[in-house]
Amino acid sequence: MKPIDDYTHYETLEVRPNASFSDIREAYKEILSIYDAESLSTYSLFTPLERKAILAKVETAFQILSDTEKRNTYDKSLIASGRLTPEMLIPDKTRTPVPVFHTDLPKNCHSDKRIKEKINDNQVQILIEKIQSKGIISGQDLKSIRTAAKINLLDIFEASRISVNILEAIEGNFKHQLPAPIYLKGFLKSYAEFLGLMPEKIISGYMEYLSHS
Amino acid sequence: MITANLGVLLAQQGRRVVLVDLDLGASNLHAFIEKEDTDRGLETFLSKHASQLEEVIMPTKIPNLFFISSRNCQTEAANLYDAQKQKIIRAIQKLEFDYVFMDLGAGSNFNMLDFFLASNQGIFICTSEPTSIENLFNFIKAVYFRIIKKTLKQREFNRATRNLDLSGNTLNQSFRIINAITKQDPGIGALLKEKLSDSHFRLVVNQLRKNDDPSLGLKIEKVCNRHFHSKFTFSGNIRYDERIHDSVLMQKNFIMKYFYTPSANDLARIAQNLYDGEMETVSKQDPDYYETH
Repeated sequence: MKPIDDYTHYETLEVRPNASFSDIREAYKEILSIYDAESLSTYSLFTPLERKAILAKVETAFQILSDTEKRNTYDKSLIASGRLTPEMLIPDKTRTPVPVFHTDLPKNCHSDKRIKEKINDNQVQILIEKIQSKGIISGQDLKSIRTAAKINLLDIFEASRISVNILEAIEGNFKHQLPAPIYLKGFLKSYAEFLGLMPEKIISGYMEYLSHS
Repeated sequence: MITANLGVLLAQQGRRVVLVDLDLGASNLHAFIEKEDTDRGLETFLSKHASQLEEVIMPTKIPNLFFISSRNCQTEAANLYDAQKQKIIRAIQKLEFDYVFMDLGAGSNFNMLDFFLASNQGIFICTSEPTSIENLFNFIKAVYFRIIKKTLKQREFNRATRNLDLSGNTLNQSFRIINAITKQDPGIGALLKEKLSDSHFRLVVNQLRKNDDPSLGLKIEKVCNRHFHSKFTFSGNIRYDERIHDSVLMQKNFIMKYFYTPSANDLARIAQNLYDGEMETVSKQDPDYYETH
């Protein structure tokens, strides 16, 4: 057994060197669920500093292994240092049964985190302040926040299950394609919560905008 | 509770099992196997009224299941003398049974750690609460520290750790000690690592409730295998059941009374795991003993 500092990125994420991208992503999610500060399974095992170091290592590993170019360079450096042989990189063609449900994993545990980071960006926060202080909020305003934070509509769909059509209608102010107000309010609330906005302000501002236009 | 029921399950499979109540000063294992008060027990052995530990082994209502009580021990029995402790450990290791279960209490004092280390395989029991998990990790760290200290001579230990900050209880501590020792004397370092990797621990998550994460035990197993030198195996969850509490109130054995419950199934699966693991002596540490019973 060696200390975690000596792990290769593959060992950090507990994947084989020939793992596919989806395997790596799944492993990353699983590792995060173990080492996360709120995780029960490592409660009190690490000091905050140790945890931070491990999480940073996991993050770097994922950043490199999920990027084809960086991964290739990294593989070459491993092969050069003799920690990997080229044969280990040949993808495994045997088919394994696809798991039907992942009941043991919390949903979106990793995308949530990355989205939070994007929203906490200073520029985005200034924009959010500015828009939330307005009495009337249009779809374009919402869209500008979302694009400033570089968040995809699909990300919102994945978390809130609001269909992309409706999200597009909200952002584009397509009055006729919007659902009934009672549903619309619910959707706006999910949208606002996802982007870390204040739901009441967004709902009242958007409804105000609709009644004026 | 778990010790008693695992004992019953293995005895029902025809294995000769003896349960030793080593939760000295707080012994209550007898309540779980419906054992009447006896005047023979560990104290009889310690006070030399019985020359052999075999003489104080009592049969129970269940065939193949035997019991060594510590109910008649003195009130201060929890603070054993070292010689007494060694005597008990030596006697237990000589017992001729298929399985010897040592029921330990919570805490990480020397007696507890030494009994735990005297076993072939240790079983940690924890619940899915942070407090319990903290106890679990602290106990594992304490076991590690004890192994290191017992393997090294006092002088070597002092020399190796002279320049180290030993305050606190961080994970890196035992790593740092091992590294320092390896640097000074690679032979001893290797011996230490070998000794640590020899030990095998099992983990059971008790009182798993509906909304708890069933993969918690697997995750802890993974973490321990990554960060400690020894082998850890997750043996299974035991689901929470009011009837366990009921059986304690009635002073009946849970497995005998409620054999049809999901929790009884869980216990049976864990017993099967132990059985498959072909282990001879098992000890058990229950960090949450006081909280759960």
